Amino acid sequence: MRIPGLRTRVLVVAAILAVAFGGLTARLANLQIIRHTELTALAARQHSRTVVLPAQRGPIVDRHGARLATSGPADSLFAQPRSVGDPVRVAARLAPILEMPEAELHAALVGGRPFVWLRRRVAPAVSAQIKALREPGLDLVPEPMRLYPNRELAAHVIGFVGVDGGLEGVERAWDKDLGGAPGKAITGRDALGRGIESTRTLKPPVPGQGVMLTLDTNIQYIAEREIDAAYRRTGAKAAMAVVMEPRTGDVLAVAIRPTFNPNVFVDPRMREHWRNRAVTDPFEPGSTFKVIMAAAALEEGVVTPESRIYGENGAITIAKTTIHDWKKYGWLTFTEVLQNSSNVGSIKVGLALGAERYYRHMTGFGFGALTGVGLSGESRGVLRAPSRWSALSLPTMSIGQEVSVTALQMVAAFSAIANGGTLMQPRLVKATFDADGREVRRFDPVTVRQVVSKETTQALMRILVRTVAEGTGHNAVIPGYDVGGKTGTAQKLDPNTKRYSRAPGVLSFVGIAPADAPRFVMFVMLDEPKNEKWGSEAAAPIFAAIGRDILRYLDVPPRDATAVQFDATTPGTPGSTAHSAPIRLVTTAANEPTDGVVRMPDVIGRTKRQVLALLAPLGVELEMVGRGLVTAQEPAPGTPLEPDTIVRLTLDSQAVATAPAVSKQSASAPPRRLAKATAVGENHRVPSAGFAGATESWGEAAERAEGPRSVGRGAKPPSEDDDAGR
Amino acid sequence: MTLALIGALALVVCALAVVGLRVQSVHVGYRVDAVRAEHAEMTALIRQLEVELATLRSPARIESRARELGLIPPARQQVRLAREYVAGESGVAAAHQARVEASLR
Repeated sequence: MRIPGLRTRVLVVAAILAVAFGGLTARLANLQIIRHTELTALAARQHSRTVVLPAQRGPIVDRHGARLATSGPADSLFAQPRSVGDPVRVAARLAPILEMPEAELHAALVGGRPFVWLRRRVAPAVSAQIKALREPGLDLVPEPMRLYPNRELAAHVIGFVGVDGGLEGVERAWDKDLGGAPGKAITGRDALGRGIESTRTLKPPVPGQGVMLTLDTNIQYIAEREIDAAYRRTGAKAAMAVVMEPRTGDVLAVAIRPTFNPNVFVDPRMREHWRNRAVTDPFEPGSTFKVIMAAAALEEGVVTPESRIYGENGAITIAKTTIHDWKKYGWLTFTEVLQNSSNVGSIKVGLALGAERYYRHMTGFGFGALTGVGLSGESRGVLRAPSRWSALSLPTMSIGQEVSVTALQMVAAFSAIANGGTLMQPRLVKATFDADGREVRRFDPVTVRQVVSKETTQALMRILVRTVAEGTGHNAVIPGYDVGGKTGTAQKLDPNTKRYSRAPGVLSFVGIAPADAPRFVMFVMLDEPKNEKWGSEAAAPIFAAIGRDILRYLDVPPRDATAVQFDATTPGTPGSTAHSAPIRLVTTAANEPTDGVVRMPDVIGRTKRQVLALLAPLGVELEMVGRGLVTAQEPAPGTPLEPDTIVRLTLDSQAVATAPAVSKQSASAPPRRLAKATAVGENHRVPSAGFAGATESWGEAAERAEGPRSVGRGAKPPSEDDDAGR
Repeated sequence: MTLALIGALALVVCALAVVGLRVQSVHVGYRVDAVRAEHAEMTALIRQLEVELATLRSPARIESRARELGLIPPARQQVRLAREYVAGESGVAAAHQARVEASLR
């Protein structure tokens, strides 16, 4: 049977199908092949967003690794008011947690902006509380926060950071190394635009390198404690102490008052307080500089310590200007000239030395040049070339006027004297290290030059010791040690009269201790003290107070101490010598299997680490609850242990002070099987609540983050690129 | 016929195996995510504890705590010097200290 026209109809249908299919194929090809890249990008923009992963800023540590600046994790709280259900309720619930007025929070939530920061960088405990509220429209983003656990300690050296990195001190000078490189990640987003968990890291962030300074936290602390007390006591405009290890040029401490707390937001009006005066502020040193002149004169053979110099009865007139002494001196030896800080004697020796030779030695000691310590804003001081000197320049320079130096230059020069005449470059940074603590770069001590001979420095040291023992520096005596040093008083040039004012200007003391084998050189300065009963020697007792504690800290035995033989060996063995260990260390945890039975040791009051080390060889199964020290154990000590016995321990961080208090306080966390498989996805308690000391710096830092520095970043999380395209 | 049946069975088994592995990998994926999250959390905790440690170790805090406990720096005559520690003496500690000194030079 044949249907007429069937063939035609089949052909027509086939043609239609062919056209339709061809069209679809073409469209598909267009979408999938020709516009592929464009459309994929479009799709990616709709369901994913790029997130900048901030790099962890490297820590700054002291010479023993104690952290001076570190970065902690912190969350910043923001709200998207459109998603917030009930602004009144949310404000009421948040106010007590953030300790902010309810009205202020409410105003922020109904302000009409799509995005608003409520609090930048909250403490971990607070962020946990906020998460527990489970309010829609509130969210937290992690932002690293810079913390200075020692607050003011060495603040001028360390500096601080702003939004774009270091602004002052080492934070600024070493910003490139500390900063690291931020990474990039893509995070998925669902149909409603909410972020979903899985993120794909495109570029992992490179954490910044750590910087190890030469500062010693303890010496720094000692210096700051005394300088702070002196600053308050004298009402000085500024006070300062710089301590250096003369053999290496290591800067051990830089204590400066006034100071600031880098954790708190730094007010630009307080700029005066940030300045590292030890390197930025030159001053006229006064009498302390006579030591430099003396070094030059001794080195050039102009005088010997025994040379006799006439004191001209306390006045000398040069170029119509008369310079006086404090006392009318007659004949003095050169040693006595320095010992009594005679101006007349020093000027006469300076004149004998001559401008060229004096200038050569001043530059030799590093004056008028940068020290190379590597901090920004360093001053060279003022030291003009002899060609530009007036007739009065040489005599006034001989007594430390008409020349300006920084505290660091002064300490470095005196270190050269303490170091047998070898000038070392001041070293502030010892090494840099990576995130795993491996050393990246190391900075060895750098010898600048041999300034004067060893014999000269030995003669000079004897003079300096006598100056402290019998002369003007007697307030700097540290009982039990030989101290060499020199006081200094410099009047300041009055800007109105262009003359040196009579009021006390800069009071200073430079000292070296112990004189026979110097361990430190210290420069102490008081700028315009108001009330000071010590008069011109106000800086010397500060030196003594700091120096005494430094020597004790460094375990330097006093000169007159008689060593005692500690004989801790068994009585009745007369042949025992100092070589035998005086104390035998025994461990109470020794688990001696006396009868072949393994017994449970007493682990109360021990840390988790100790417990693991102790119990690991016994082959028992371990369940621990909590964190901190062990407060309860099961089975009891002495119980024979079978293999596969389950040992249950309760730990508590609160029990730190009162170790063996057996209490089962913190059973809130589920038991963790540490010895076996690690539990997955388990919540950890945030321990911060128990540490009173730490919360302070968190609070302070949060305060800082609240300040104007976070303003001006726009109403947007800092870690998002603006490609949302919602 | 039997051949076809065996073939079909083998196919089904294979398919099931694939599906099973798929499910397994998803589960492992979740575990990996969880462990990764725990790792990040732990790292954050370590950093936080480091900050706390540094804060607690600050000399200012330790000194004020020590003074609260009634501890004071010893007077000069209260300090005894052990012969073992005197440089140049024969004590072990002195020898060690001499080595440290030498390394500083």
